[in-house]
Amino acid sequence: MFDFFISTFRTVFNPNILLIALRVIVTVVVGFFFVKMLVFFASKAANRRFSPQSSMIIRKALFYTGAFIIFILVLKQLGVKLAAILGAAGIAGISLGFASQTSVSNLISGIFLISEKPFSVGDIIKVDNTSGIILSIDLLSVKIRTFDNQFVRIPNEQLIKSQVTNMTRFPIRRLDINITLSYREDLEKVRDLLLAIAEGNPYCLDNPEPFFLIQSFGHNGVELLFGVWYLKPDFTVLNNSIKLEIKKRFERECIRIPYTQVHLHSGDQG
Amino acid sequence: MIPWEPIGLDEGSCYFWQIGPLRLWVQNLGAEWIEAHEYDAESEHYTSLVSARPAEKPPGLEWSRLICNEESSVLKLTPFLPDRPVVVGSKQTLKVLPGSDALFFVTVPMWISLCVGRHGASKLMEIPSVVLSNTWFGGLTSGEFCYSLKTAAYRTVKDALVFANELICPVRVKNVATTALDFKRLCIHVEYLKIYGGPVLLWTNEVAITHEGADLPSSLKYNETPPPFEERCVLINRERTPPERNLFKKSFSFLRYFTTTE
Repeated sequence: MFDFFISTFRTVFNPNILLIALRVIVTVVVGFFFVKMLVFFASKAANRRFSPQSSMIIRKALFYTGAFIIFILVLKQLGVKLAAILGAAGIAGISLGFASQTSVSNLISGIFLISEKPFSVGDIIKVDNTSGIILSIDLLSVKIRTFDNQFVRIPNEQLIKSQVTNMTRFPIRRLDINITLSYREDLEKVRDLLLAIAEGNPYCLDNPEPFFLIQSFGHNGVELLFGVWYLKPDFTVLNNSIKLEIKKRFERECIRIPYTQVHLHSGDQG
Repeated sequence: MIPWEPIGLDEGSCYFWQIGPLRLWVQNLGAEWIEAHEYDAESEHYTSLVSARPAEKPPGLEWSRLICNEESSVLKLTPFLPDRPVVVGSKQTLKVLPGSDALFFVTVPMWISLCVGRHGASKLMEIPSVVLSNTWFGGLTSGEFCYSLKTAAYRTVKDALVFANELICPVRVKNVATTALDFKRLCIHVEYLKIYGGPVLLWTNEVAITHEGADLPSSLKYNETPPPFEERCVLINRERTPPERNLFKKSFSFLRYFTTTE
């Protein structure tokens, strides 16, 4: 037993092994120090020139590349034959490639999304029936927060395939209000009233001018489209205030909005 | 008494100002100040100017509590220019022929800042003297968020109807291009302008815009001297943003907006 400890002690504290261990420690410490320094300065430069999203990707790419190089150097210090490992890695890579097709597809889609920049962090997007604010754009997925405060992860592959609407890309937007009027109403009077309502609303931009369109003569009445322009953060407050005002003013001016009425006749009445 | 002079407010008493449509009440409570304001929509009140008159606290207004470390009972009101560019429109398209220049006088509503201390060291708040409507100047995908002015660009000061809450901005438009410059709306970046006080009116320094062609940058120059239209004009307030560094860059923006014809 004692001999075993002695031999183990001699093996472990062999000067050659200690030297290799020291080399490995120095490689890891110095390597990571340089990688961290490189990431720090690259990050500072990237923050000035690129978006936070691109800056984060540059940081991560540099760090993981540096870590991989340190790993290879450590293996070399330990005397591991890299050719054999790379050969094994090739075989493992093929099997892994088959197993991770979806991930690779998401990864490539993520690279396309990042380079194409259809949206950025903080934008409001709509994908299929989900809309929300973008929290992060990563290589595999995009994370969004819906308006009812749910966390949704959308794989990048799905985003590439789907129609994505960026609702906050441009600084101003138009709020379209569909109104149906009775055929008895004076359309010019209604137009002037709507324009006056828009002019009096502080959230409504006076240029581009409000848009008034007689869309069609429908089954229930004349169908109008009234569009007002607004600054994108004012959507909720404008939407509510202008619709309340339209209803109030229509009631005051006795302008009727027709609605479908159902008459029920009892069978007894023939 | 003009409203821009510092005034000592006795602790506990409420004072009233009216600067055009803006009606303002301020009370000094010692450790803090309270403020309320409203806008008088009656057109005849646009010429009203009342400076620091002791008044009763009116009921039904929303009061703001303003706390600052400055231990002073002196309040100073200072006029400011709006915090965004202003767009002045014209019912008719204005046309400046090649080689011609035209001087316009634009009346711009002021913003009022409330500062504590004789030299206005601590700014309590800033209030617009009138509620202006918002507008967009430029293209739908890029442009600028501005205030819309309902006033016209006058050719002489006599023509201009200047209310108590307004100051006059002289704008000189010079067309050195070979084609006529016609425009309907003019965007003025008031954040680069200083405020001067004359014996009668408040002014900004003159801004000169030289149009060199539809696709060329127009040069923009802010006159550093007081406006010559009234004698003994003194500097009341400096510009919000110094124009020197970004003048050239801003000139490019100006060109795009300035040459927008609608």
